[in-house]
Amino acid sequence: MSSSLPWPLSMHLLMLRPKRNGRWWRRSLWRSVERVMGEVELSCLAYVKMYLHACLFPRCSVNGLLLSSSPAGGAVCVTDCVPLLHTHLPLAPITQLALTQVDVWCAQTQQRIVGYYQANACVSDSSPTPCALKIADKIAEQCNNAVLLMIDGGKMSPDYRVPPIVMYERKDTRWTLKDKHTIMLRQWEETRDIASQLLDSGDHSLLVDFDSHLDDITRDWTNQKLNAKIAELVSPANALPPGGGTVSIVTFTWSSSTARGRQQNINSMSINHMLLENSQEWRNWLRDPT
Amino acid sequence: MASVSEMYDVTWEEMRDKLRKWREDNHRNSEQIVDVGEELINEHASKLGDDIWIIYEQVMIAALDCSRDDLAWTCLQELKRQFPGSQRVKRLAGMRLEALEKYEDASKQYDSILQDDPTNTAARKRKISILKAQGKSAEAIRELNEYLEQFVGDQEAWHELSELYINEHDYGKAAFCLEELMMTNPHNHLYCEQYAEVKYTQGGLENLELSRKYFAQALKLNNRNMRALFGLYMSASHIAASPKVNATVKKANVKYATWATNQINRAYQGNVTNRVPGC
Repeated sequence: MSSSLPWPLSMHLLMLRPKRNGRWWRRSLWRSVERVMGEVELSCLAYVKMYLHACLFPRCSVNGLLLSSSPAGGAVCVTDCVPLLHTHLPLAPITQLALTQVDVWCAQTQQRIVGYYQANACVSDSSPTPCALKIADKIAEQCNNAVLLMIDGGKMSPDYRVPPIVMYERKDTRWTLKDKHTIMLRQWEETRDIASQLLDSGDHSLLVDFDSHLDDITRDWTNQKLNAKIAELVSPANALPPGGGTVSIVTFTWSSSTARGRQQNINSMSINHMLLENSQEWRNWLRDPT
Repeated sequence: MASVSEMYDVTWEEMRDKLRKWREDNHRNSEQIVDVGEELINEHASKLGDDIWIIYEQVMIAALDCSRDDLAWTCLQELKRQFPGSQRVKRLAGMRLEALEKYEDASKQYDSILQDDPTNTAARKRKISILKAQGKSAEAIRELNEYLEQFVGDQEAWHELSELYINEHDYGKAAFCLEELMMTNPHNHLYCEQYAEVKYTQGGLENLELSRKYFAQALKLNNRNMRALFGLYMSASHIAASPKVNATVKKANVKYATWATNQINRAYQGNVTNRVPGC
């Protein structure tokens, strides 16, 4: 499937909804544009590393930063993550140090910090802690569409079918639950399988977070080795098409609305798309956000 | 799946000694303990003699940690058979109930232990752990405080209390707990460094100065503690940048921060090829 669009962006979006009257058309266009603006895409690499971080320290709260290598504006594309701490998350010095170091590294590698993730030690409670909110606020000062991601330990059973994550966005100084229809995970099944494979083979112990780096500074908190291992396992079809994330998100939207009865050329799915797969579990998950 | 002894080419004696070392150092590497211990129990039980009972206990706790309920049940049965009516085995049965999230039943089990022996610290600590697992931190803190009024010397409990306070963002009380620990363990650099981090987080000029002093103390006790080194740099820089300090203090702190930077750069150059960003 070619990633170049023969039609302009607005025409694609119009195909989703029949034109009823002039006002309806304009409203649907605006809503579609708003949807593209509010969308967050989570890459395989970011998800796998976050998941492995939570698995490596199952008895501790863990946190980390979400990074993006795509330019600001439009949808947020989380392309990588940096695992930070697994001890004493609410204490300031190491958090400040880590934020500074990651910031400088990002400037050197043309990335930016776009979010924060945390997994609580207490599996029954996956709501953001005060320190999570504080750090996310700090990130939101620099990045407009920053996201706060909580990993739901309760949903991380061996045969989990849906991504065990809850995402929050900032609206009027408060962090509110993000509309699930705006969260995208490319090649979800493949991503999940890669994470399980690395866990089973014990390669998750290759992951180095900032805490581990401070215990032994020869260990690399940017995780180049693990990144390479994950890249090996990811199939070529999962690579971002030229032009960046915005183009492919439009493609998702287009294929999601026409998936029924049509051959899918790209197997990427938004969480909205999962609904069209007629899976009872996924539908139940969408209906019940807890 | 290859056995541990095949994979690492170790004898059963070495495996037994490794388990003893992990037991004495109180390591929580449960997956490894389960791998080594299960093989030892299955293949070499007869050679272990009386050591086998303590290994059963160690492996059982590790198995609960790894959700290996089958192995935990086997170990518990063996221990029950050998030591019927033992409080220690009753505690293990309680821990198994906790792992199955049957907190009410576990609590009853511990209560029955405490009825027979009110000074049983293990059962009291397990009850506090149940509160922690259920997310009831305020109650856990209250119970732990009551426990520490009676058992003032229990360092594990003081440390646990400091962790609970840190998670509740009650830094003043966390600092108090760490002060108790530092008093009884003056040579432990980790307590000094943790105390300094808590003081730094509390903020304010006085607390920053105190945190700098304790980071320096931690470095004196262990000059390879990177957290203490970074902490010294950050606290000294913050003090030097503060508008409330006079010129002498500013100059002194700039000196400390520069020294810390040099030490950090030396540590990184000595060990890794990439330079330290942001320092």
